[in-house]
Amino acid sequence: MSDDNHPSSTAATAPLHDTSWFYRARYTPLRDAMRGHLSARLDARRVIANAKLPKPLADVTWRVIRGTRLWRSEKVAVAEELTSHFLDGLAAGTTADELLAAFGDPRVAATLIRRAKKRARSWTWKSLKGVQYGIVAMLVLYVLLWVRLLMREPSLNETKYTDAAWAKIDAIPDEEVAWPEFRRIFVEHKLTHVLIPLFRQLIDEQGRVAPNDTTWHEVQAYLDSHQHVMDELRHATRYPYDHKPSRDTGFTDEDFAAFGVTDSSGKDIRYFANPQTTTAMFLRADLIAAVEHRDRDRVMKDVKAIIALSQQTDDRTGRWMGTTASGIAGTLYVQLDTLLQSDAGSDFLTDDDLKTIAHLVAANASLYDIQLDSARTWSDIQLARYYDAGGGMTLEGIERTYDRQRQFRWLNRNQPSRPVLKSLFTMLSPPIIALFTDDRETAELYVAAEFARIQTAAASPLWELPVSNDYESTRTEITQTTLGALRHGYLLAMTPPVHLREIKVQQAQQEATLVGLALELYRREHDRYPNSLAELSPMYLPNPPTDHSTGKPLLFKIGATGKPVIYGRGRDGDDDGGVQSFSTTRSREPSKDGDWVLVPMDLPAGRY
Amino acid sequence: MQIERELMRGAGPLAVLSLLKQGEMYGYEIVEALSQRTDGILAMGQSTLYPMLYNLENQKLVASREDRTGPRPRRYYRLTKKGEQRLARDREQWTQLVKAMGNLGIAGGAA
Repeated sequence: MSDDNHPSSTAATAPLHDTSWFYRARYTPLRDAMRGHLSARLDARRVIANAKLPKPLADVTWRVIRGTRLWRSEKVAVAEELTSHFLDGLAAGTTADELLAAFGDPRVAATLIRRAKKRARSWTWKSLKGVQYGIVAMLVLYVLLWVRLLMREPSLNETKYTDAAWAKIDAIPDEEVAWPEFRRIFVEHKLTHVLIPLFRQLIDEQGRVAPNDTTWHEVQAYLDSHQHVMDELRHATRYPYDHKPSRDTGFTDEDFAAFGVTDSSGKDIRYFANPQTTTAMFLRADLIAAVEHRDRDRVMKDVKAIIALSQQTDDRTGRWMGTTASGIAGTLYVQLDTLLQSDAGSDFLTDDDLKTIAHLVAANASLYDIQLDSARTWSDIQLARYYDAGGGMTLEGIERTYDRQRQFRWLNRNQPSRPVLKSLFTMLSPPIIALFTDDRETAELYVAAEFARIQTAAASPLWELPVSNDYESTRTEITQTTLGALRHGYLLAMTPPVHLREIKVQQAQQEATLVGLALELYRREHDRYPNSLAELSPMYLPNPPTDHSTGKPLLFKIGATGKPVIYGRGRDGDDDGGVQSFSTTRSREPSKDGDWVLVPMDLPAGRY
Repeated sequence: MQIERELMRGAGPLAVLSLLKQGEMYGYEIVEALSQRTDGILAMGQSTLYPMLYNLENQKLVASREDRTGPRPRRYYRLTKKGEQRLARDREQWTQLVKAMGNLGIAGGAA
């Protein structure tokens, strides 16, 4: 083969067609550029042009080269080979048309050449390309998951356990529902404005109202002169509260504004806007004032109102209601005990008054059953917020998961929210949901298992329950690890629904109140206390009282003040003579030594 | 007569390897040799040949070198050790195939 008839030159020696600096820089390999030589030898078009092929051949060569979309150096190599091939053909006497006809489809050629050349590239490049494809695929997947997540709506209209609760509420005539009445009284009389600043001075370290030298006289004066307001509050305790638990208090933002939920220093006092707990606080103060005035009618009205308020609270739907209700009643028991223990005594109350109170308290005995139905309703509402009708977690669900984790595990609960961290968590929501969180079906199973476990515990006496708080231990057990917290985060929002131990302790204190009343009635009749609590039944108590720390009979002695001391054996199970030695802190862990003193009740709130 | 693409896909690389067994060649030489020695039956255009050569090179069955000493740059292809082994193996397989086809009266003139 000869190429004498086809003058040509190699790309390396061909003159530059475009001598601009930009052109040369663009088509110069880095190695040449680093040597200060802008060779521009990576321009495949220049290679084709320099070959001086007939136009049809030059065109088809360029179409192939352009179609390969290869790197410039690869294009130049292919261009040199193809042009060389055509030149060899022409030199051999083959016409351009024949060469063109034998060439084949340029598009197919470009595709095949591109495929072959890319296969020849380095593993490093292939790996990076794989990573690149992987990132793009993940981004696409991420966007799709986000779209799916944003399309999900909470399935609040599909809750299973709320229908009965809502039907009960809806069946009550509007004029017999208590919470609008509470709202009217609070707003009309500006109770939070007037009383809360005064009461803030009266609340002791155990969260109880206790008279002092600062504002008590003002409070007492207000209460004495506003008995019509207290009567309205007492009246409001008689009806079902019955507010669907979309809010804790049943008040609107406008109501909060009317109440002035921040104090003069700007501190949020929304807590006081809870009408039932706040009313309990007012009624207890009124009871204290009534005792000071030895006004038995007013005392009896307040006792009845506090118990009614406790029952009203207990009937509300919500996981905290049982605990709140028992707390309200607890304030009454402490006050009654204080009255019985005081030197001034309860003599201004008649025997009938004490019996009436005892009957009211006894009737309250079934009040603090573990409220599984209410808690289940609440949990169902929560679950419906976490999941959509199709069983996928909603954006609200994942955000609640973060909030609950922050509150319970990841961050100190006293620390403020961290918006950046939350934004990051929200950003990662789609993969978190796809990889970690339970679907609704699994969540339902976990919740059902939780309730079954709680039901078993609720049926157990206090002395058989584990020492640690059941409410906390369940959460800790299931959400102990970060992965567990992500997977079952919904459990933190909904279960377990009750403080089993707290309610059972409250039941024991309620029984102790009855024992205290029975002892007082016995003393009035016999002019002395009995030798043992067993002597109280069946005349003053239907059955001998039980020590809920051991299951044995409750113990009793006359204390140094000449007043009864009623106590259980405590964690160590033996009689330490009615000496309570547990910590005075609010720790939930009871002491292993000492007794559990139920009466007198004005001991620090360490509890059993 | 043009060979079907599927048949050519198996025969083409073997033919190229076989040609390179005789010594290194550049692209146009290979096209010409294939066309002449097979009476045009195994003739292939650039659109087929060069991708095939690149693939054979990727598989390390052939190696190439660039020659810029002539009037234009040329890339010469030669058979590698691995290519020789592949050629021997494929040749044996083709022999068996042709024999089998002959037994069926399809190739080799057998009845």
